[in-house]
Amino acid sequence: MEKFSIQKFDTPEPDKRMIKCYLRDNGNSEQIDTLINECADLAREVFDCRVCSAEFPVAISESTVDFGFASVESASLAKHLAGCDRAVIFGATVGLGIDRLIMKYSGVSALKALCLDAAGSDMIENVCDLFNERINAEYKSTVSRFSPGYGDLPIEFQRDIFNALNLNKNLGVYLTEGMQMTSSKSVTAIIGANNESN
Amino acid sequence: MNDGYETKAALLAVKENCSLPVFVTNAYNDDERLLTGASPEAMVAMLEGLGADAIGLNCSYGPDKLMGVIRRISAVASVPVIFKPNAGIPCVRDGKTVYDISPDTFAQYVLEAVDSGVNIIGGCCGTSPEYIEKLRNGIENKTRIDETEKNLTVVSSYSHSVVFGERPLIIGERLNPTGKKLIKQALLDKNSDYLLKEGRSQQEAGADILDVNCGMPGIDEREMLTDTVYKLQAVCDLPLQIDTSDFSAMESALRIYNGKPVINSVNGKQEVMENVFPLAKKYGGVIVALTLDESGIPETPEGRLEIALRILETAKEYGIGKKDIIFDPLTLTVGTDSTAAQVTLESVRLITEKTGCNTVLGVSNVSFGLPGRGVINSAFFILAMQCGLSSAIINPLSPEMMGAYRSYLALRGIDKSCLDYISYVKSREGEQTAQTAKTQEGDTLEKAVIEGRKEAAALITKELLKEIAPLDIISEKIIPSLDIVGKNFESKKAFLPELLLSAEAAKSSFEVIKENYTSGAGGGRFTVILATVKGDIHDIGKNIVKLLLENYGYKVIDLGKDVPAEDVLKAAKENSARVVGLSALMTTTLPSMEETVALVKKELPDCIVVVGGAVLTAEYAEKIHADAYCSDAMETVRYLEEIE
Repeated sequence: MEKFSIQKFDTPEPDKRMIKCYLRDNGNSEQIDTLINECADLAREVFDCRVCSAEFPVAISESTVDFGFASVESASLAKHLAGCDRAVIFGATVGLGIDRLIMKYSGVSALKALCLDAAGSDMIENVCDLFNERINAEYKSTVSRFSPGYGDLPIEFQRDIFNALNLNKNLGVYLTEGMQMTSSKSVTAIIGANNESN
Repeated sequence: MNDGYETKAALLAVKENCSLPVFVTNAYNDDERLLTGASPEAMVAMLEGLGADAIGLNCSYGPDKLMGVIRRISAVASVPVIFKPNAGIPCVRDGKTVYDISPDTFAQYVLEAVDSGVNIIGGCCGTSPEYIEKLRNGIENKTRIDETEKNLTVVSSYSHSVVFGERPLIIGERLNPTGKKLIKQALLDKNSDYLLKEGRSQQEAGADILDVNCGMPGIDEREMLTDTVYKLQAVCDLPLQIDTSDFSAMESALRIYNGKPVINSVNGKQEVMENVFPLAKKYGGVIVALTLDESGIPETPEGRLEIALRILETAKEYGIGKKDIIFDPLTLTVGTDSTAAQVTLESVRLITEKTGCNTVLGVSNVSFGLPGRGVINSAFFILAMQCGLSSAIINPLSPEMMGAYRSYLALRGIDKSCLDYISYVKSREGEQTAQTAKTQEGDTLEKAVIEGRKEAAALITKELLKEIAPLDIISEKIIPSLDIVGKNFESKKAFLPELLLSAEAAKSSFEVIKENYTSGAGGGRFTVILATVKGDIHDIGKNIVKLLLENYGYKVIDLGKDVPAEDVLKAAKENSARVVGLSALMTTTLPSMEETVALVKKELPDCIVVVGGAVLTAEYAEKIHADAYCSDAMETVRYLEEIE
């Protein structure tokens, strides 16, 4: 494991149009727009965006990918990482605060809970994008990020990533028996890269 | 560890299996909280309550970022304090992971912490023998500051601590079935939403602590109290007061509680002390001690003081100090005994003076049997605070009580520049204006529901109830309006948020109806069990289905998320449910969905199982032998109407 780091990201401005998309709201009700604004503000206050990452070697043989700390059987990942000699593996989260807010409002207003959920989903994607940009700038070439559960990469591989990066301790994110993360607005992913850093 | 609840579990596990001293350190964030939200003061309160022998922090950041946390721990801890930070945060420099604090800087900070009361030092990630050597050399010239007993009467939730004695505290009384028909009904129906709503509204009204009592005939108090405490802490961050006379319920709730609670209560009876004190010693807690014993409640302040002193002595034998006892000298009814209030007030004064302990009163008992109870309660409350009362169990939603409280704090100079008083009065005035502005001339319930205006829907319903029967309001006004929005949604003229706004407006109307008529106000349709299957923790979609089904008059029993198949079956059996609705969001939980359907169908072949959720399809539903697949909440309503 090389280049282990924990980075904190300043919370980007929530994208209200994206929240509307998540809600599948194509209308233009002023009442709903006000509610989206209100929820975006509430969510913004509790976001605590962090990424824990490290670089690992990649060795591919047929459909097996070996990262040094674990190897995994996945034809789609092997194909995706073809040509990469290393990968940046990361865990990202926007923190537990958003889950608490969602729970707090779920008994009061299903719509508010849904809005907050959308704000959380949008924010974690934002954080991954920001981190991805940093990585793209760091390496000569990278491929797009790939997460456990996608294609034929078993969701159980998430457990190996959690252990390798010690995400319980470093991000305060936990994995349930059913492979779901708490806080729920969290992501684990692999970014394939090659060549030395710039 | 970086979570308070996890730390509690670990500490209990160690304590239950070994007698060695236990040192507990946690990893704090740079916002001076654990990653899961606990403040240093909350952690110290809980860990000291559980009997940790030394408390502190390790890992996470360098000492430079953690000086604030370690000072806060030292300020409140009565046990030795540990400081073991990282050599900074790991970052990448020139392609290598480095920790950015040098051995000299590290030692400088850590040694400075020793001067503010840290007793045990060391280094975590990124440190090396060189760092420790610097500490060792620097410590030679230091004098150890011994830990001191801070004597704080303190309780905590998962997020923060609350200290008795700084200003009178408000303990919200409403989560108690005694005399409250809606709470009784909610407990019988296992309707935790209603209980959670009561918790939240008391917090918003200014409560510092919430009393939780689930004791009533016909329910399993141990199960209900544990469940309510567990769920309350997910939606409300106030410390809780566990209120029960059932020792097994008490232990179960103390075990599940994430923090240091108030325990309500012990009294001078030998048997009660023998049961409560060992639990308080094991799990930690501030104990409410009632000044009564085998011979009843003494008639004089001196008699009540005598019991208080005896309770303190017995507590001491169990290793429980004065700081963890607050006395309740008991409020009796002034309507039947004109000296009753005077004796209570004098007892508060005397016990405070002679024991140095904090006090608590359930205030409203004073007015039992009298008219205009709020008036006399608030006057008694002010007198009691003037006698030194440190906390009161009251209804924080009562304007009279909170008005008296805010006034007292302003008049005594506790509320500096009367800022809290001013904002309290303004918010009350604001509420009143908002109430009147919510409805316009010619507004109807139909319009309010269709346009999704909750406050208006509630206000109009209140008016309508004076003239129209509740069932007629539901069937002639609410349901047809919901149907209009529902049809627009189905034909894609309205979107999900609009459907939800209307559903919530309808719900607020139903709530008004329920407050006035507890029975027969539902739509009288059949019972539906809802659950998100085991392994799945996503329940937003299921909650939307619940909202709509309730609106359409179905009796919904919501089992929550991550529900084992056996629990679904048990609830379906107990409630003779006609329909079970299951939801799953993740592909990984589909096997669990299949297992639940199979179990319910095997044991209850006539029960109809409906499934839904992001990963479900009609084909999959058929494959696992579910009776139906519904793609959204409206479709679920339509399906149930069809099979009725």
